[in-house]
Amino acid sequence: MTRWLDQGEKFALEALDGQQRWQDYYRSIVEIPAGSPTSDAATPFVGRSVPRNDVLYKVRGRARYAANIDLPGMLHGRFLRSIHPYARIRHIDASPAREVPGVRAVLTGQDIPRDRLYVGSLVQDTPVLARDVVRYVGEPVAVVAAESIEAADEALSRIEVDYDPLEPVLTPEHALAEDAPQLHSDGNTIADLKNEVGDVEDALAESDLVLENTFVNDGIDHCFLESQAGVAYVNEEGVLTLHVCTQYPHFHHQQLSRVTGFPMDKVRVIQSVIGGAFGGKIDVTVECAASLLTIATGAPVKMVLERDEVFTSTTKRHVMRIQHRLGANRDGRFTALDMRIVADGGAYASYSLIVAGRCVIHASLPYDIPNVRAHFTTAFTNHVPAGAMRSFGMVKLGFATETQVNEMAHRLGISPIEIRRINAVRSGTRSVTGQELIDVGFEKTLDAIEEIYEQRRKELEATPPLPGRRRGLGIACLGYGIGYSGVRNPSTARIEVDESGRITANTGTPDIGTGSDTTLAQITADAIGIGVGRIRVVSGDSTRTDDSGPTSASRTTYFSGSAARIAGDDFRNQFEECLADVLSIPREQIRIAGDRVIVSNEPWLFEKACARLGERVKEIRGYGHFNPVADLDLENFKGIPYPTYTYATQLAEVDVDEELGSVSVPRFWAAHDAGNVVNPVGAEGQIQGGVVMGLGMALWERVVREGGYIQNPSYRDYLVPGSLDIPTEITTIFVDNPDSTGPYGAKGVAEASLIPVPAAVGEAVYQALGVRPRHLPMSAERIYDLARQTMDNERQSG
Amino acid sequence: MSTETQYVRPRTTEEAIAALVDAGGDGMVVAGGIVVTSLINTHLAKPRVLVDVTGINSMRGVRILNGGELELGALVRHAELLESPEVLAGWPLLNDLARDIACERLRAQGTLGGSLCTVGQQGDPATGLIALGATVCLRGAQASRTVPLERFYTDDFAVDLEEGELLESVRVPPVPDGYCWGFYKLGPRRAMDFTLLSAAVVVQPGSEPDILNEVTIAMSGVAPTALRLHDAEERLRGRSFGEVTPSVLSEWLQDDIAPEDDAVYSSAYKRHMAGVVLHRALHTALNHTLRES
Repeated sequence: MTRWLDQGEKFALEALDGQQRWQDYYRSIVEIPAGSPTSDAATPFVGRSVPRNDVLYKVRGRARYAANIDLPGMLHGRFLRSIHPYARIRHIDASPAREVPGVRAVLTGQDIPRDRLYVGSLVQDTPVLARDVVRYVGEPVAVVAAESIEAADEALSRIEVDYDPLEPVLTPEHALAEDAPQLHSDGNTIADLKNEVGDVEDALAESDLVLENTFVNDGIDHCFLESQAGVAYVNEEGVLTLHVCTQYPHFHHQQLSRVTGFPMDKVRVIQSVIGGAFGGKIDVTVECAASLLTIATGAPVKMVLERDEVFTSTTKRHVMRIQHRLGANRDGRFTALDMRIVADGGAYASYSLIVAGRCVIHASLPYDIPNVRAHFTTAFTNHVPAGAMRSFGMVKLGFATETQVNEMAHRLGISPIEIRRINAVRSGTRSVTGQELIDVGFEKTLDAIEEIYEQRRKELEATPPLPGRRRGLGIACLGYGIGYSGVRNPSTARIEVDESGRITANTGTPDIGTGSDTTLAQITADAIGIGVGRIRVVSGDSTRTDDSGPTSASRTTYFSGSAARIAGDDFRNQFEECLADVLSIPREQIRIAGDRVIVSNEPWLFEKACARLGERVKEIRGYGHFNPVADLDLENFKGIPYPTYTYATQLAEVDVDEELGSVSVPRFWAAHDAGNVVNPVGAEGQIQGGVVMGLGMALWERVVREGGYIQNPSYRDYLVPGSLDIPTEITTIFVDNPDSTGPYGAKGVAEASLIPVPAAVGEAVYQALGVRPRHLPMSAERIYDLARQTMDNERQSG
Repeated sequence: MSTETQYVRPRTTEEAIAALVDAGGDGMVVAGGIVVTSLINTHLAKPRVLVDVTGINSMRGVRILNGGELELGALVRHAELLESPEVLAGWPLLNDLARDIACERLRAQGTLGGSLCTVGQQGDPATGLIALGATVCLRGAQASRTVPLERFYTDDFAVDLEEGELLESVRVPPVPDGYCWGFYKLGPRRAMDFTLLSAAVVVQPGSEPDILNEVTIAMSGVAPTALRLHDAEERLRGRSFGEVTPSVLSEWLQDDIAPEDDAVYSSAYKRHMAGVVLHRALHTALNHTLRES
């Protein structure tokens, strides 16, 4: 097997001298500028915009995406998928498929022992291949390995599946009805979580004003550019090896061991370079099938999903119906909030429970409301499973609550900023779970946006809109917990060095395109006192790195960053001690600082110190483990769900075409409390990307379903915003609010960028047209219909 | 087992037609390949013979005929409509609409004939050419014939092309002096989108610039094929543009259009939008007059 494969090298590196050129170039742009103080500059890389350490490989086409990996004798795997939303499988005849020339294996559910058949992120309820019953259109029923994709497709067309179609369950309301068919043996409920603090009914009864409204959304696809892909093979040592684009290699490591029967030390999962994930690359897609095929055939097997397979068979954002009541007194103080949420979980459990849990925990954030009730029910249906997607459901909660808050402000005649200030959580506020919040920077984000809001309002008033156009501004906010909900989710890091001075930092959470490998390199560099260009981050390799959980929940900077910092400190100590020992001088006379090793006041190049250590560099292994307290059960909702929270206030400006109902967003402002920002240019990119994603969800994106079938499984009809549809200006502001528990004061930022966007746009539409959208996406047609209904109503009542 | 597709690249229309006749019903013409390759890649088409006509020189070029007609070879690329001085001078409507077709790469690759014969039913060039009263020249094994473009489209995805017939060129009559034109298209997003609705109008203004003496209207997206809207033309004759609102236009169009629901918009919304789109095309046309006067 090729050497790079076993090394898990993600980039197609050239010969060593080619690499060296790149290293030198990278160093020249990221290194400490000559002439700057090299002494005890505490954090020379954290806080500086550092170019991403993967970017040159990517722009030169040297990133190794799984779909680009080709191995000698490699076969291609393809799924046969269910064509019914719900049906019993009477019989599968795969023998005609085996006759097709070039076909090497055909597997059905019958070929996998029942105790190894089921996988799943939280609950093992999803068959690798459907065995007795199919529960959604697109569910894998059989899988073929062949010498060409064409032969595999031909074989698929020859597999005969005898289905007995059943009446599908297509809404959660139907699923929860008494006479509904039971889709799983434990019933149709995936999650049913409730929490109440205070007495909501009494408080609403006594409130001066109560707003009661229902909010709904359509399904959303993650729309990563790279579809799921993986290559599996068994190497010379008998290790089942899988290169796959995933957010969580260690999870697949465990699942594969169970599904294949290979012992844990004979399985290795290596994350390939990933083209976007957003929660869509956490669950099982090609991993088990590709591995079973490679075992069955003895040849490497590649599987790459087609785009329509991604649309129809991989997880989606939950479709939710949120009945929302918000009470307030005339002074603007919120009295009570009540939310009843019913969600479509699709055919299998995936991350539904976490979505429900996160929403119940966050019911009132970022506000301090004395009486809060949230009841979240997710049901199985015969739709493609709903799962993790950026914000774990919070974007819909944010749309509901922030729209209500904006309406409340209008109805009470209070400015949207002021009503939030009155109710804002602050450091010391106790959350609904009883956690005392610390380092809350929410009000700072309000202050930052207020100034812009007031100024922009004046500017808009001073210049009339184009004929037929209406303009508006809208604000929305958020508070979001960093990390898993209510459970410990430790991260680790290990740091090694070689005699040439090259440092390798192994961290568990993979870089899924966010630039986290660069962020972690910056933190490691500062902890050691060394230049960032020396550090190579190895992440997402289930054998070489410890399980540090998935890259999700905006947790990498905070969790893996903390582990990297601890590991860096440990490394520096060990290095200094070791060198002191080798040189036989007192420990205090050695210090790493400013990319130099200061030996008795004489600055040595780091390379020189490493060369001097010789073989002994191998003794130096920095280790960091970070495992902050998080403890809360999803029964009583008391305790500490997250170690820290990020906050934001965003402002959207819209320009609405009155005749068409179409909304454009020429400008957008986002003020975030992300703690200290490790890599400003990277964080800004995260915010801008998140805002664009939020705009897609606000205005265009929609999975259209009919009878259990997805009607628009392509980018032709599933509309994501293009470069001309997005704001010409997205202004990002990071408020100064270091986190006392995070690495160098950092919190996290990713998902927060998207959550307030739809509500901000919705409020701006209200200011422009006087209609309040409560259904996402706010497509031109929906806005047009809403405006016309309002006009009709006014005409009738007038 | 899948059969191989045979690829031929004839040098003359006669050879191309012979290849199509040989293929029986299983031949497919390809030029720029924008639509055909995508149909094949998505398994929507599986031709036995692919007849690449890009080597046929007689199907290229932009010419002015003796009678003042514009002749566009079927192989004229969208980008040529943008660059051609003849088109700009005499048929600027075509120049206008070509500017917005897809993106630069597709404009450089896609051909007029390809557009008219494949996505043509809903394509921007068809809309503009119908408004200009264009005819298509079809050549078969036995004979040639010309068909007005507005009658070329017979049904959803069906054109009046017989087996072994080839669309050779398009002829556009001259636009009389003083006429003006307008084109407006609407898609859910601003660029690179499939057009939702489009309208092209050619207007003879009256004595006052606001009066519509004579109007030709073509629209796409409102029916299975691009179509000419004779009724609305009648109703607009002699009217002042100021009297006509989008909703009045929508009403006039209702009986002649039959938009369908799609994954993005409902037919009801499209019925309303039809009036808005036509209104904006007329508005553009009259602004052109004003600009020139």
